[in-house]
Amino acid sequence: MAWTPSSDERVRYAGFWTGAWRRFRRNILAMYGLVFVICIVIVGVLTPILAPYPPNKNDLDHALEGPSVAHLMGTDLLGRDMLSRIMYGARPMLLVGIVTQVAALFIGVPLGIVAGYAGGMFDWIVTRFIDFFSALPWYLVVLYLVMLLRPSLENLILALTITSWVGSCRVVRGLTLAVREQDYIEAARALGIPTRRILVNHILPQAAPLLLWSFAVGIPTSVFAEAGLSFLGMGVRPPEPSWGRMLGESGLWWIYRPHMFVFPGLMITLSVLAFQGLADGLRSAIDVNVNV
Amino acid sequence: MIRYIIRRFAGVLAVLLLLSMFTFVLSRAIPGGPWDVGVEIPRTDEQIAMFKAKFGLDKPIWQQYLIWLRNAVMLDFGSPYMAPELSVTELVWKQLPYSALVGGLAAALSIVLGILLGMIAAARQNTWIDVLISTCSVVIGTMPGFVLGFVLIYFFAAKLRWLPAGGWGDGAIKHLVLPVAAFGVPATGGTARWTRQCMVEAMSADYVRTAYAKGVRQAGVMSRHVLRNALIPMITRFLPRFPAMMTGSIFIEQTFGIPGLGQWFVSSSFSRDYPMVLGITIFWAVLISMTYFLTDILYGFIDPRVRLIEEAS
Amino acid sequence: MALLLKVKDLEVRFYTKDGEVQAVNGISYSMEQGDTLGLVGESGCGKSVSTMAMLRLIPEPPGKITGGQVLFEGHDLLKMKPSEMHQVRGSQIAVIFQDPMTSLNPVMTIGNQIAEAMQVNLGTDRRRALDQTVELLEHVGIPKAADRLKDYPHQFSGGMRQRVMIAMAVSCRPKLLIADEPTTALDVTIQAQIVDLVKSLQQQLNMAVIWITHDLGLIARLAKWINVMYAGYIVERGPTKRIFKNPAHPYTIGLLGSLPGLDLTADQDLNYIEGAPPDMIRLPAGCPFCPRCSYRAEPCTVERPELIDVEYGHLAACWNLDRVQHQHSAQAGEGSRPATQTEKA
Repeated sequence: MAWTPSSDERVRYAGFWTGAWRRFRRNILAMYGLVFVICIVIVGVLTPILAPYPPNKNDLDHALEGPSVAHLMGTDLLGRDMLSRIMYGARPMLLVGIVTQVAALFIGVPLGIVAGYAGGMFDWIVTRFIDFFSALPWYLVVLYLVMLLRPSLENLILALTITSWVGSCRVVRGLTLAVREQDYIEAARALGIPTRRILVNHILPQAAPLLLWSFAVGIPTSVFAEAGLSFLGMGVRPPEPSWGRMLGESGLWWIYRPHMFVFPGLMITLSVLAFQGLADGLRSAIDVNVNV
Repeated sequence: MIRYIIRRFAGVLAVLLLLSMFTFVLSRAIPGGPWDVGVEIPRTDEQIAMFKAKFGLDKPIWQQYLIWLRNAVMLDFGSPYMAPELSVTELVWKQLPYSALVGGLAAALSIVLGILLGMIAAARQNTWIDVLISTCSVVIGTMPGFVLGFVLIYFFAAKLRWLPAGGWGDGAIKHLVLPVAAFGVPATGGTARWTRQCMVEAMSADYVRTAYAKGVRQAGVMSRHVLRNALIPMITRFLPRFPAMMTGSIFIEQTFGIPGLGQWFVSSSFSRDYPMVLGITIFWAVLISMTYFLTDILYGFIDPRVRLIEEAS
Repeated sequence: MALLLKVKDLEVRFYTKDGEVQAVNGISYSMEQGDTLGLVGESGCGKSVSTMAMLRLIPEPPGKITGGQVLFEGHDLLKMKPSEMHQVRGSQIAVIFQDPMTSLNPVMTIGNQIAEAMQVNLGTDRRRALDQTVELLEHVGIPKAADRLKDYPHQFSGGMRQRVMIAMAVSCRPKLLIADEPTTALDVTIQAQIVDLVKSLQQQLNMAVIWITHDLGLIARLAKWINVMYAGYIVERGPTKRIFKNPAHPYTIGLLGSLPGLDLTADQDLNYIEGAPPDMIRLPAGCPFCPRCSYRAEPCTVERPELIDVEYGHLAACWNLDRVQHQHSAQAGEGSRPATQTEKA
């Protein structure tokens, strides 16, 4: 008589995402990233409630003060509370980081899938576009566009989206090209399944991990861009706070008042690190093999 | 092989052409122009018309482009509106060394240091050295250069007074130290990680096992089998860093007050100085495209698989 | 004749974050000069690991050879200094691996790779090594060998690449050749060619060969002796003919029984062994095959059986040898598919 496994010995198979989560959990940097991002998002959303002072309230009597009980992170050139400005500064960073990547996905993915699947002239055009947008480094293009269109948060997001869509497009196109030749796609075609369904139901789900990763990996770049451009004076318009801008605004005084550069600088670094850690963790968790 | 080179070169030219067209049209398409820069009262139509005529901006766009293109091919990029006595080429050439030096040295630093650290980490995989190097690479690698710049200036210039806080001075070495460090150190994080990854991948390959099974000693395995394979992806990643960092030093230049091309690009864009902007853009694009092109060719030489596929097709 | 190879109680463990993998659990066997041994078993049973352990090619960490001896011509390989091991590898013992595409260095010409073996082991200078490489390549059946010296692995077909690997392996005339599933990745027609090539080389060089495979049909033609491995143990051992004719261990019986015979009709199900491969981290107490065995009895879950004589030279590790024999021949007699595909042995 054959032996069958008793219930406590039955093998338990974890799903794809469960396994990914487990691997992700082991990565310290990734977990730090996750925790940090969650905290920062909460802060960003609840800033009006959490911030002790309005961010743009000048108080010249108390300008350039170091950290104190009244102002935990000190005040800046115009006497504005640094802590509040830091909190409010989270918003443009999050906005730019996330919105650009989402927008980039919306542009890049459809283009990529259709180009990869259809091939021919359309694909050729899209590929030329990809090459074209890759010819100049993104920071130059963004800089240029922002300056032309006059610096503002919206224009920054626009410019960054324009330079970011290439990434996800390339990735999706590569995947589509690889998957297109598979037998099950041919079978689907033979069954008369409309192309749209094939793309959405068969190819797109496979691209999901890759796209998630592409999304995650683009965020640190966007955050860096926002910080850098605001630093140069080309991001958010004054007096709106942004960490990069705060660094740039610190003018000549920061050498004598280190709190003016320490806090914004720290926040920028921690944020980029967090998003980078998230992206890295995601990559090893999903075991992405990006073959562009 | 020759056909491969020619094809790639043609591709580069095509992209450059498109880029110039794009930039050209875009800058003129946005409302406003160089004539209303820095003026309080909006200029009258007459004044605008005069300005346009002077600089040939009244002609139709495609004509303007062709004129520009014709001159550009002969390396005449015109003169900046801001300084009509100089030519764009002259100006770019004069400002180039600053950016190039800072960027180039930083790139060199990041590559040399990164390769060293990456190899150590790979050789001592999974030991505390590896963990240390890998973690530091990630943390330091994500710190934006200009943020690090502030930290360095604060410590080394303000507090310790060992090095100047910025500016160029007479080009003395000490002015270069901090900017290059601020720019190069974060980049080292990336190179170290990539080096480690390439090395580890090569070291865990089947052919390494075969080499040991054949009786080859570790030194031989490392040099003939591991390195040769690891270098290929490493070179393709690292070579483009040079033009990337030479052109991307804007933030560092701003932090340290270095009068490089980046500064000029910013101010030219603000003042709608078309010839200058175009000139700088094209210059950068050429630099970057050339490097990618060279890397591709180099890749064709060192990786036999690529070479032969191209020949076959 | 003096023993070429004597493996005694070899034990290999892998220490992973999921636990300790008991990859090889005390196996013993011996070989004489010119012998052909087949190491048979499913994936993960430890057959490759045991031979890699012999050559000290197990990555440590996470692996570790935790016990036993491997006496090659009287010297214990496991106790050798690294410099001595280098002498053994390639020149005394050589290996051909399963996947020739990944097992060859993609950026080195095959001429250089083969020559390297001779340069490193025999001290041959480059010129002569390359000359001999040409001869070797011709010998293994690669046409226009002189022209192909400068070619790279990806310019060869799968079968050709395996020939290159074989040339590389035998270049220094090793006494023992380990063939680790060399034909698994190849077409059936090419398989036959490769097998014949190795056989003829074996005869010419009087090499001993260990064939590692899960393909019983293959081993029937080739090997004089077979070790059947399961979960890191040798569960049956003996002359090929006898094992095929008279399999003693339930696992072997199951393996042989699962081979589809030529007279199988469409409505007959394929036989298979119930259950799943063992978890090498948590091996059960007692006989490792017990959970899947149709002949299990009381002692099986308690204590692990040692190898016992079935007939001369033929051993199996089972508590119930007599009952198995009896039941097995009874089933065979009843006309349920005969387990005697062995006739071709």
